[in-house]
Amino acid sequence: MIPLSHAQQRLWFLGRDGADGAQYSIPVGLSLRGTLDHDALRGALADVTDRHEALRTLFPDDGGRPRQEVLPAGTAAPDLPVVPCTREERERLIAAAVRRPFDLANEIPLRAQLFTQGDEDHYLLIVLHHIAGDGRSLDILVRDLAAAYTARIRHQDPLWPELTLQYPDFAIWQRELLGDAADPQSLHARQLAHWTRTLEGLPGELELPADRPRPPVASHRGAVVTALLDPTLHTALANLARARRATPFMAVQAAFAALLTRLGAGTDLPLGCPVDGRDDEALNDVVGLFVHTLVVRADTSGDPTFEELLDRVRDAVLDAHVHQDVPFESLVERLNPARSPSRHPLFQVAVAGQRGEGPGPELPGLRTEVEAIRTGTAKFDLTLEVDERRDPVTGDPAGIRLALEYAGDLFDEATAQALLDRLVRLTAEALREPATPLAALDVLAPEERAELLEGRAGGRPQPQDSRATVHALFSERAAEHPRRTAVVCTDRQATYGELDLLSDAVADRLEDLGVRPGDAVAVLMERSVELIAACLGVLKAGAAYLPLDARAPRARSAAVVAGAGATVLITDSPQSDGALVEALGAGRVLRPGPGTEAVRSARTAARGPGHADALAYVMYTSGSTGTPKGVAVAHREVVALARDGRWRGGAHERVLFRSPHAFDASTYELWVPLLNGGLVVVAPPGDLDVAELARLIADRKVTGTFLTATLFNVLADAHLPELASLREVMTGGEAASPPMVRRVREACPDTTVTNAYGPTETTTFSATFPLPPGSRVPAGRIPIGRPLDGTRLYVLDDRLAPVPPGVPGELYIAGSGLAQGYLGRPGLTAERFVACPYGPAGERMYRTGDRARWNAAGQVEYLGRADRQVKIRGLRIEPGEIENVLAAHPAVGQAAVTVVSGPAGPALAGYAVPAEGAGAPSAAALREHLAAALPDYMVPHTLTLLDRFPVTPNGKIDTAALPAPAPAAPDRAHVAPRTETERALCAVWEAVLGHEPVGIRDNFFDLGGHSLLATRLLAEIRSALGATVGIRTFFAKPTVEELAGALAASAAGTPADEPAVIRRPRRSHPA
Amino acid sequence: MSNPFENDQASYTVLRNEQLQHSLWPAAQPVPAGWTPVHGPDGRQNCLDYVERNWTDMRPASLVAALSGNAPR
Repeated sequence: MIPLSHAQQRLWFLGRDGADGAQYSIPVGLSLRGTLDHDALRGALADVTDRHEALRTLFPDDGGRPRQEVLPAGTAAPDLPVVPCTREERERLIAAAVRRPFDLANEIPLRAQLFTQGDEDHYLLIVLHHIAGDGRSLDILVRDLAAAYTARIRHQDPLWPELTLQYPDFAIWQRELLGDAADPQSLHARQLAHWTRTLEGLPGELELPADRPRPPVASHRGAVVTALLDPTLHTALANLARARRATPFMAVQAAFAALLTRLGAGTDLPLGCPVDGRDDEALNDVVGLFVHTLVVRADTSGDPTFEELLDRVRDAVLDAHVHQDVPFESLVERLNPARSPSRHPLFQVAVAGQRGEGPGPELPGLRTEVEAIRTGTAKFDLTLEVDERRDPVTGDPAGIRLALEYAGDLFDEATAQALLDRLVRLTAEALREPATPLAALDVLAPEERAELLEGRAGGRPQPQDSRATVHALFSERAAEHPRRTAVVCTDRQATYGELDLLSDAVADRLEDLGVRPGDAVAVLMERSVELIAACLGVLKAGAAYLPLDARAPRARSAAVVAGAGATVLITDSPQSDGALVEALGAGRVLRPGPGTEAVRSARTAARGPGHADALAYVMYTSGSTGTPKGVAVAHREVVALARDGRWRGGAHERVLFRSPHAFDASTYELWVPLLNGGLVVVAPPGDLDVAELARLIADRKVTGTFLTATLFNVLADAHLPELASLREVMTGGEAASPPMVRRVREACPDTTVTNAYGPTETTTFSATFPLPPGSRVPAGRIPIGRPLDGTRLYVLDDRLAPVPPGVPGELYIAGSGLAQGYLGRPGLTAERFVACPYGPAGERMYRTGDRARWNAAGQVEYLGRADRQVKIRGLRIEPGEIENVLAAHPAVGQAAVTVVSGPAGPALAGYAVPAEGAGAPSAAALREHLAAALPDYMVPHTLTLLDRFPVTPNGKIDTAALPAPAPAAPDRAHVAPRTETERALCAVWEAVLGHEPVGIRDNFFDLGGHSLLATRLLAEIRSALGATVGIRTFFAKPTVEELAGALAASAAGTPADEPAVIRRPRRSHPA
Repeated sequence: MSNPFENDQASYTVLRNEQLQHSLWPAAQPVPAGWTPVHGPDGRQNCLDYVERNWTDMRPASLVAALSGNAPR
């Protein structure tokens, strides 16, 4: 019995597991113009098949053990169907032929087809299964075919030197050379030990600047983009490579690694690298699968220069070549990375040397041309093909053709092309300055850089002078239309004129209490006309208002009051509050009642407008360290927000004031309507229930409102008709849920749905992404869009350089809206509001701590908190992405995902609140839903249903307050094992999962299993039961019952076991 | 991705602009236009301590000037 070579074994196994046919087809096309002798061609195909055993080998499978069965020469020639067709039809037929899978057990791995158009135009398609050959084999095949055809035409036998070796010899030789991996003295074991050291701690997955998140199962759809390194660059590259004792190919590898690092893939880059594998000269003319893949670990850490990086890559490549005999599959098994059908194990990016098509073979009477045919597939996420051309006469560099094969699951063509163009640019720059650190190499084209830094600023802001303060603008409006209603509450309303007078009276009384310009005045009031008058009054007195949260513990409010140095408290609370009053020091309490007299006093006229750079308010937000910090915002920024062009058009004329006053959404809710002559619709005091809120929106004809993402989702779930009465609904505060946004967009045809983004530190909103009526909701994340007027958004890397579109960086905000800082916290302010390298001289930018990127459409996408991203078993995970998918389940209203520490290290915990009116979904149903949309490692180990989520005071889900996840419980009733196999399997499961008893219908993943544990489980099963199950099979059937069934079905099946080596005595082996 | 302002091992400076606003700044980065180094290179905490000691009036200088009557604008 002839065993398979290791590389064949891997392909056989992958192919058997249901992979797409085209992925393992290597097609080549021969265009033949002139008179073609069909019989001679058919005969030549037979000659070639006779010559190369690999072309007439079947791979039958004896109980899971494949073997090579070489058919006798003269019996195995492929058919040559002749298909008359046009050129267009031909393209389609080729694509179909390439996709047709091979039945390797029953048909030879070579197919041919002849397309003809008239008598003179022929096209020979040859499709070779990868198991029988590699790229080089195609060249050999075409060359031999031409020789055979030439001989046949002359009625001669082909004249070719006999092959001393055939592929089966190689397969046997390889197994002998490597020896048994279990024998520590064997080459196999020694090389494995080397690779284990070399690849220790390899990242599980490279984070690439993809357009889309990775689907749960890779489709292997792919396409190719191309670029050229011109002869000048080629020459420079070759010279540098020579100077560093490297090859031009290594230099391209180094440049690609440098680029990936600059595009956010990290500094530890496993690159797949196919090697020729024909180490023996006798193999040079043999068709067969010799090529195999090494992992070159490119280390770009420590910001090396390009020269240094080239040295490192050279060493890594040479080292890999020295240890190149170990089969890739064996390496995967030993290193045991977290496996997933969503990506290739050990590496997702490859760099391959490619020999370009040379001149076509000579066939008598025919003009020939060889065409490489693309199969529309991608084996990896990215494969860079490097085709170095030399002048045929002088040998001088004639340019390097680059082709980038990309996975269509992840990348759009434009993105892939931009990536390849960036490689050319970076290579050119690295060659110009090879001693420049990588981080200093520019990966942006000058025009792209200008676009990112300047072209994407918000609109031109309204000119502002230093007297344009909030209260001055309000008073202007009041003077223009004193009788217009400014505020409506449940039981009363006030005109602009009345509100102006009321606030004048507040200002008078504050001055009487000793308030002076620059002071802070605390405000603890329910939402009401009086609250708005109080805030305006504080501003008119030249002070800043300090809103207190009625729901906050009084001790915290007292600390806030003391920290801000407020000396007066305005409150409508009838009880005097000891701790608060004490915190005021010598200050006083002001209680404006509804009876407050509103008369114009003589002092009003004497008051100036104040200064736009004076503080308007101080809002306290909770800091990550627990100490609240007071964000101090000047009038100028509030005015800039209120005057932004995006509020024009009538959608923000009747705005709902529903946020707790102490949160910065109230800045929009109050000042956008009031400074533009609109109406504030005041929601009743206290916490509102959702139904009440929805009714208010409809009854009061509210036109515009801002809802936290949590609230938006709840309304989208149960109150679509009311939302539909709005002109614009904005959501923000957390990542928007795409399905919820889509639902509202579809159900509310006249409402603009806007995703808004902004930290308190940049005055409520910094960017918005409006989806006006009729627009389509983008697939994937909902962007946060473009900045407000006068505002600029920068997505910067860790050297504060702008990152290219698609690449995650940290979001910085500059221009209009920046707070003055944190009140009384100069150190903290200097840390977060930092010098801006890009805008006007002396300007500051706020660093948000949020991860973001510019997408291909020129919109900013929010990717989550920089400090929330987690890494589990080497894989970077953004919990928000999982939350979005979970929330998209129809029975789920809200979702949260956190990281908890589990028995096998950190683990993801999912939480869901059932949707309004929907029954509680089962954990199994949710898991199925998640597994259909996410790679397995992103599916949480536990899923806990809650009636409601704990929320923070500002309405966000309080992830810290979520309960510990329920222990992963089986969803179905316990079913005890019934057979010996099931009992044995249950015992293995219990040992691996640390959970008992295991029932035969319990889902492995519901019990806390994950892909790493699954790999361990399968290994345990193999040693305990002597049976092998493929990981993909297991993923599809993760219960004991189904596993036992699968084992029974392939009772003797042990495909990963090495079949015994059987010597074929008739041939010698290569040395 | 590490943030250049959050590395306790790195060296920092303190910058100040014409408004007398202060900024922590990674010493490895070029100083942006309109800013002047006033402290460092030094450890991160030392830089922040410097800011705490020296940036005592956090209002922009132009506002302070305007309020004191000798406004430049």
